[in-house]
Amino acid sequence: MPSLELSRMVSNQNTGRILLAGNVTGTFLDADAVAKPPFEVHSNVLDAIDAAAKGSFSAIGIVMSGLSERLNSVAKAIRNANPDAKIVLLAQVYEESAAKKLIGISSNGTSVADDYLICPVRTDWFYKYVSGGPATVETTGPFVDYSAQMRIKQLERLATEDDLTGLKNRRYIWEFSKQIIKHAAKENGRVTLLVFDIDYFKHYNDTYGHSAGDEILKQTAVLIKRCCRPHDVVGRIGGDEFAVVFWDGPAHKSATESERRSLQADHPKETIPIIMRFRKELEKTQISLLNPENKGALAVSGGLASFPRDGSTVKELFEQADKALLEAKRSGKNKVYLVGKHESDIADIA
Amino acid sequence: MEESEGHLLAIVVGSYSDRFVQQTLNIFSDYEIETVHCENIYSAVSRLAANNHGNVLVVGRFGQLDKEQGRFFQMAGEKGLVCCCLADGNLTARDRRTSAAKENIIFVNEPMEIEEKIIKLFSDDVVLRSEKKKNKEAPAFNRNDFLATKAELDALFGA
Repeated sequence: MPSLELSRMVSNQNTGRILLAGNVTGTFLDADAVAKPPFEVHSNVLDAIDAAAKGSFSAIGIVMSGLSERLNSVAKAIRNANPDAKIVLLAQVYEESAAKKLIGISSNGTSVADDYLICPVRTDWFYKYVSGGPATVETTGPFVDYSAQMRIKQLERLATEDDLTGLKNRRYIWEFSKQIIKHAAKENGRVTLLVFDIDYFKHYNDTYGHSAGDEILKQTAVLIKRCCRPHDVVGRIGGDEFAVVFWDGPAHKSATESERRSLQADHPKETIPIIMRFRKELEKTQISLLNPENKGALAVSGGLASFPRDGSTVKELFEQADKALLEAKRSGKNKVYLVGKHESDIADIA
Repeated sequence: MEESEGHLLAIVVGSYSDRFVQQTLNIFSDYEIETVHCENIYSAVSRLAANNHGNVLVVGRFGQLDKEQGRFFQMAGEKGLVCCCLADGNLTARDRRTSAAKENIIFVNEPMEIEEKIIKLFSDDVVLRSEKKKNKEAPAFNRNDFLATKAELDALFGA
């Protein structure tokens, strides 16, 4: 939105100032627009804390990127400096779990942060979102304000989640993979993509009906989610096709350069036990709408590709993982193949 | 927080498990100096922003204070605060030179140096208080005067 329009919007709404702490470059906020009131940007977080304590701000946005292990301390200091402001974390998709965690932490009886937004964030949208908070409650009433926020959250969920399984959708997986690969390239990290589908899914659908098919999909979603680590991102990317993005997680930061290199050489070996556990769980599963003799018949075929070994872009990784998946299907199903190791199932590698 | 000017506020930065932090807190306690402990530089900045003290002393390991591209030292300079840094192992000659150029940074090599270098630097108020405390707590006799000698103990309990 052009700065002029934003200024008009600002003058129409009687809201307080908005402080932005950290480097806003990666947030996609319009640098020209946020350089002027009602915004105040401090890329150095110490200046931001100082400003938060001295100024009256209705909202404070904390850019998570670049703060890494300092995030908790910075957010707590900002909260203590300005207990009344609405604090919103501006997170990249791979920082979502850290943002959620921080919202759960309280300092002096108040939550360290009130909410988070996933970047890219549009300036006008961000402005509307934060100014719809406490500053406008008096004029619009808390109920309206609350429902507006809920609606935004609901829309965000609809845009990123698969309705049937509750997993992330294809768009989200693609965007997340793009960002996490970029992040991993910078941090010398690793990303492994697993793409899998359910063997004979069409047969189950045709024989037992779509409700049975839906139940299989839902059950598969629950099991794969349960087997993965909290920071891995699981999604349903097509009919019976699922994807998991395995990445290093926040702990990777503490690894030394040589440790990272050796881990990278091993990659994606550490994801193999997770997949094996999932396959075992799937074998034990009983789908109520299928005949009891089908217990143990559910199986998946999959392909694994990892960054940077098998590809340097999302597209390349998906292509490579898809190829491995096809090889697994051709060679008799119920197998997960690694790119470049099509002769044996991951169970043999492990 | 509304605070009167003229007396010293010490802000000690660092984890409470750090021995240097504990020793520093003890020293300030002995001198009855108003002291605030902050886990890190971020909470210290938050604390300082709400402060109206005349004399503020910030104490911490150099590595703890030299965060965010040295911005804390600049802020301290602008606010007229004195920073006392423990020159720990990570301090390079360059760090020392850069920081020594700033008038408001004082280096110590161990906590006891704080007493020598810092306490003297501040107002008479601190000195008077410390004297008062010393007078109040000083025993009329040397404690050693009451300790039995080895010979006396041997005489009592046998060698």
